[in-house]
Amino acid sequence: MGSIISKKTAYIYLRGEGVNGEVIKLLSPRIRCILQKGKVDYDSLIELRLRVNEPVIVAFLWGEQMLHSDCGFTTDVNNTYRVEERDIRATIDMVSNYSLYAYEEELKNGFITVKGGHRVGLAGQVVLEQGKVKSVKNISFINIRVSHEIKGCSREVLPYIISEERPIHTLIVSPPGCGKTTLLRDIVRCLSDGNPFCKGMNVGLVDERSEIGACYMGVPQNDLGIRCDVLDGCPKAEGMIMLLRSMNPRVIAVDEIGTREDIDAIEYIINSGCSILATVHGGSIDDIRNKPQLRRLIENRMFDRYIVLSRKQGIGTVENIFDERGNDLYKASLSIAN
Amino acid sequence: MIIVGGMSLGVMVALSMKKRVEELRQLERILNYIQGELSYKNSILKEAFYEASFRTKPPFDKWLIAIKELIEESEDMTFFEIWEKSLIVLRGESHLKREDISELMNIGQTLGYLDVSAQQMGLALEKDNLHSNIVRLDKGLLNNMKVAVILGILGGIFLVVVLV
Repeated sequence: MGSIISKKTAYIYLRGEGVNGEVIKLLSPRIRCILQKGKVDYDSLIELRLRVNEPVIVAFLWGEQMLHSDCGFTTDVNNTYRVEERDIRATIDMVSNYSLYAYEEELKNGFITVKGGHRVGLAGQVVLEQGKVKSVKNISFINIRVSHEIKGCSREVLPYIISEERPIHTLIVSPPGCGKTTLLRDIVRCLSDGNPFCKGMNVGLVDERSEIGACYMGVPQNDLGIRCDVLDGCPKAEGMIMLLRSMNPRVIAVDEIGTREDIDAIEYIINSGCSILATVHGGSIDDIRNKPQLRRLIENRMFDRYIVLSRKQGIGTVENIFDERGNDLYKASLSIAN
Repeated sequence: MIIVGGMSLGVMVALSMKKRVEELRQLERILNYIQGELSYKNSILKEAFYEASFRTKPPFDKWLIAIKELIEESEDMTFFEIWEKSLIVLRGESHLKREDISELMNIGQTLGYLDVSAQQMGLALEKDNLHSNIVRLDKGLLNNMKVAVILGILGGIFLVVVLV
């Protein structure tokens, strides 16, 4: 058992140069100027957080630092640059290209995806319409999450999910923040491009929250391989059927299934002869079994493989890979190897 | 020669008046394209201007592309400042008068603000104002052109009399 996100099996593609050009340009001129005066470890940059009247906090792989009032970084909270409302306003203008009106749907989800696949989370005062979130106003908090891919992280699981040169119906089960989306993205890329276990094939991806492909103006900013078609921002159930009917996929990938409509659509896809690759929130197969909407998945043996992830040995730890009968193939192979 | 020169000046002024009305009509079409881009495709502003630039003639095609580039390159300007800057350039390259540019300035205050319906309403209002202006100018255009030519000829004759 081990983390699939370890340096020996994968490399972390953090787009150092791209971050400099794409992310820094989003910031207000004053914050950008201070940041550029100092030395920024762009290769390790994960997040930039702006909060009105608070210091700018920059998170790296190795820790976090605050922006100094003049140049570079500091750990002394008294010498920090404090974000002003005009910084937030200028940042929003840059993020939305002066067209915040065009991001009404994204605002309902609380974030905007920008060029490069970076996600800009926005928080403030919510505007409700008939009890549902319509928009966010008086935005006072911005979180710029730098996009990164981990190419090669699926290498370890590919042999278990491909049979006779075809991917089999696979469900990735994982709690939040354990790498299921990262793993799904890499599996999509490997199936699309081809890998030692099967030739490249058409993959249809329903990317409801733009997390997997991180499409910007319809173009994926992450590497999804040469044969992947993406429905960006589309509801999962509808998207799966649309892809099946229009794009002739060999496999359809979808993230975070959970509703009855999702399960119905998956059943339709499976019965049409197309393979399905999906993820779901949960800590174990029993978690899935306990959810009323998802119980059907297990009881009807809709999936042939269940990959269970955790953080026990770091993000992306593969705990188990079960077959449809509940046999743990992964631990079995580890014990054989040992 | 002087009379011909005066007449030519008159003709130039007349043509400039005609050009002005044509350009105002083009502007009206541009606002239509932008409205369509916003309502049908939910385009961001720079995209809307870029698409509209393919459907219009000089000097507006270059103007729309210039706005798009200003948006992309802008580091420390509000949208209204970008819009204002672009209009200064347009003023120099078109036959539009100061009052036309002043009307266009109002559009810059509407675009990018609030939601799509607000954009649409703002653009619709400016289109109405523009249309009223075009109708008013069109009505008197022929007469004004004739007056310009006649004044040009008379001006030439007057100069000849003064010089002789």
